[in-house]
Amino acid sequence: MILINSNPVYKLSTYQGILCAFLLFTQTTITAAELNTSALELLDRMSNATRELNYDGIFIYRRELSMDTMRLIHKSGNEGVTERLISLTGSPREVIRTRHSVTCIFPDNKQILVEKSRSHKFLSTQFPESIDRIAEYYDFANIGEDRVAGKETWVVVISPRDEYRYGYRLWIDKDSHLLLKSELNGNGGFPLEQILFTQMEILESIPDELLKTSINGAGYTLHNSSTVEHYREIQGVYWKAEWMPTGFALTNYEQKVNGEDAEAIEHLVYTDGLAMVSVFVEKTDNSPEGSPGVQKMGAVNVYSELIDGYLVTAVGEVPGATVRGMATSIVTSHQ
Amino acid sequence: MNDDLHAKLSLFMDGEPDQVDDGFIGWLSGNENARYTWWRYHIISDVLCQGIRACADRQLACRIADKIRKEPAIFKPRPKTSIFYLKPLAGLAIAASVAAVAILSLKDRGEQESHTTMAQPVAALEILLPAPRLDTAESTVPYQDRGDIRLTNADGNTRMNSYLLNYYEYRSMGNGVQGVNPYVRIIANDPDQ
Repeated sequence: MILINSNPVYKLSTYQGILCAFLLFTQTTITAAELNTSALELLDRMSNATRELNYDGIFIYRRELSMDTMRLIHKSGNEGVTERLISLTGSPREVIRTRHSVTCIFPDNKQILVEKSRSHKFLSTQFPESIDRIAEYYDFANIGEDRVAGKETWVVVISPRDEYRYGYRLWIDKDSHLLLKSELNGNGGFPLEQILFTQMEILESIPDELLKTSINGAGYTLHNSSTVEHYREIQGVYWKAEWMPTGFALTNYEQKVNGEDAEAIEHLVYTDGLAMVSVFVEKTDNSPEGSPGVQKMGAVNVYSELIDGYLVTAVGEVPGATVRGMATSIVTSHQ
Repeated sequence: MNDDLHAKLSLFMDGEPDQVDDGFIGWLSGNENARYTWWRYHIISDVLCQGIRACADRQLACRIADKIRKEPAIFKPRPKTSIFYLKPLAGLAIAASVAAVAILSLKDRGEQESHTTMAQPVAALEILLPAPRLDTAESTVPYQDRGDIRLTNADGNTRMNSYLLNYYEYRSMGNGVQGVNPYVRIIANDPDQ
């Protein structure tokens, strides 16, 4: 009895075991393949989704000891991208960004600032740039899954290969490929800034009403810098950084002028495809107070130094050593 | 001073002047050591009787005045000057000082064209914003009346904020890798506020 009863059980168990092993192997192989191949693809899809989808979300933005809740409404269309960013904590500050302008509204002191948008002029600088290029300076890994804002996400880690760049940890929605959570990490791996969506709604279309400011403008002062600033036609590149981390390259160079006879402010834009550093060079007669040094604003570091009557300032979401190194290496070809 | 004189001093202090010589008072008034002993005995007596009072000798005020005169001048601490012109800033600070960039530029032009308006009426927003609902009935406040905007070009924050906005403008193309445009930093509340 025992043998008769046990054999079928044994045979069934063997069959089940083989089946289970096969299924497990198959499943494991798929998961490993997904994890190995999808990190770069996910970033590419995320970049496209962030630009091309219409969405309305609420997120928490944290830097250092401060935390803010904000709402982001993003509309994509033939007219380009229109975004409205609203602070939901404290003063209801807003930024409305269209293809042609960026409007910042500050109800606390009743100021409205309008800047000319240049996003339509420099399409070549879309971020992230070529993933292949970025992969030379960063390691990418899809480390698994997580759940954010009620949605299943992939977790992608971007680790810099040197100490001159910051790293990222990204939570990308499996369905929409929108970024639902991100961390910008310092060299010690600690987060300098975090963005976490608590609510995200993807919409077929965004009503125009949602992109209008709620303020009525009464008593506000409008400052439109685009009316007094203009950009000169570049005759040549007069300044350059002699040192920069491997992979960084000059992608844009512009000269901005405030007024007719004013000295131009040179603006050099360097990027490795992921991180970006702006270097500003401006002639100045006044020696700024204090001594040179790195200033930190969340993930943004700034370094300024007076070099031969020119104030050189490097700004970037990179470690202090990077902005310092680039600013101090600026040289000119001016005679 | 011998023991006899000490004894006489003690008797005199105890209110027994009859027990001392007639010339004792004259001697006491003319002898500095005797007066010091007299003063010290009084102190000891007061302490023993627990009747000591808050007292100060005549030189105290002079010593305090002298100390004050020799004290190095200490002024109210100045606000910490940030390296160069830069201070940690966000949100409102950026708004105010970037606005000042525009104002400064406008001011420069205004000196050449005396009738230039420094700040545009908010009505202009109708053009700049996507169909905003703005009440244009009220005019804007002239820049001269704005107490919260600095008008000096020496203000480093103005320059710095202009740099930051330019940086963010480039950084915002494609929203970077964080998925949210960097203007998030502008409207975030300043932790220092």
